[in-house]
Amino acid sequence: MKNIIFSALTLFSVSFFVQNSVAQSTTSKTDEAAVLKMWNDVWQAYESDNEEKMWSFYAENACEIYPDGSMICGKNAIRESYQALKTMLEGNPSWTLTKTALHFVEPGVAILTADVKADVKLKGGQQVGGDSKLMVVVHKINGQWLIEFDSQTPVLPMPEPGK
Amino acid sequence: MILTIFTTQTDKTMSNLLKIATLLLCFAFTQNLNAQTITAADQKGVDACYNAFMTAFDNLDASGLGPWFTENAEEINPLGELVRGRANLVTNYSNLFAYFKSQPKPDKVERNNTNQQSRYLASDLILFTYIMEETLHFGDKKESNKMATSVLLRKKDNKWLVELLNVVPVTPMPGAPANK
Repeated sequence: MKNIIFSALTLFSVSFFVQNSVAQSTTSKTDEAAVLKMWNDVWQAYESDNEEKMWSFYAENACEIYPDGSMICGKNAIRESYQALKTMLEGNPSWTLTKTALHFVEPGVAILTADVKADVKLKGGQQVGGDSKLMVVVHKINGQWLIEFDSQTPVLPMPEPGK
Repeated sequence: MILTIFTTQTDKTMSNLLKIATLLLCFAFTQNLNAQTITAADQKGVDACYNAFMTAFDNLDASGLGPWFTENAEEINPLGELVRGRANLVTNYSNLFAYFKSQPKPDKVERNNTNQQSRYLASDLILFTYIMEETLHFGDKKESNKMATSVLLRKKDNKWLVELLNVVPVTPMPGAPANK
């Protein structure tokens, strides 16, 4: 009797573990697809000038660090900064993203990285684009993937000793 | 019989109410996590990580930095290089420190962190952003620089470790508003 109960408990534990592992790997693949879709939707919203949709992908407390090192926190402050930046731009900026990679820190938090080549001109002709490394932290809140943090670090040459 | 059915139904209703209350509590906890300020115990752990990390950095001790990164940590350094994994990070810092050792050593380093923001993304994940202002003293000469820094910290075995480190040099664009 004792053996039967023990065997049943072991079987139950093993099957529970297997079920959980399968569920986790399925969730991970589903979430990976969901994050990449969200990222694509953000860009489509940006490119089609659908700002309301674009901002809907930002968490309320989101923070951004721009290539000049300025940092802005809070969705409303980021929106205001974006409106201010638009008045300084000449023409439409172009962005090319390559080597996009996704790393799940937890089932509900992931880090997306990519290489960015930007062509951004300010009024007066000054070029502020170039190569940079993009990093985005996304967070699943109430079933929706949102941007919690993003930054662009300009790619600079390593300083040569003695120069 | 009627009493038994009534009692069973009451038990079921109570049980359902309890389940709903538990679910609501869990949901409220998850929602509030974002808005929560960092607990004193976690802040102490974050400070311990920051202080140990900066001490190892100032001592140009790459192997001392290693234990403060998670196994799969990622970093984008001020040159825009992406480095993945603790072992690669230690190698990268060893190279950086070898370069630093070939340069004049400052007599004193002063640091001041401003614009600090920290919040939970999960009970074991904290996103910490700040502007680090650093002044290096070489005799009567000074060199200053600013770095916009973001760190994703992860609690593992009761220690807070760096899961993500991102450093962007502050170099304001002409005509752009300065960092507040």
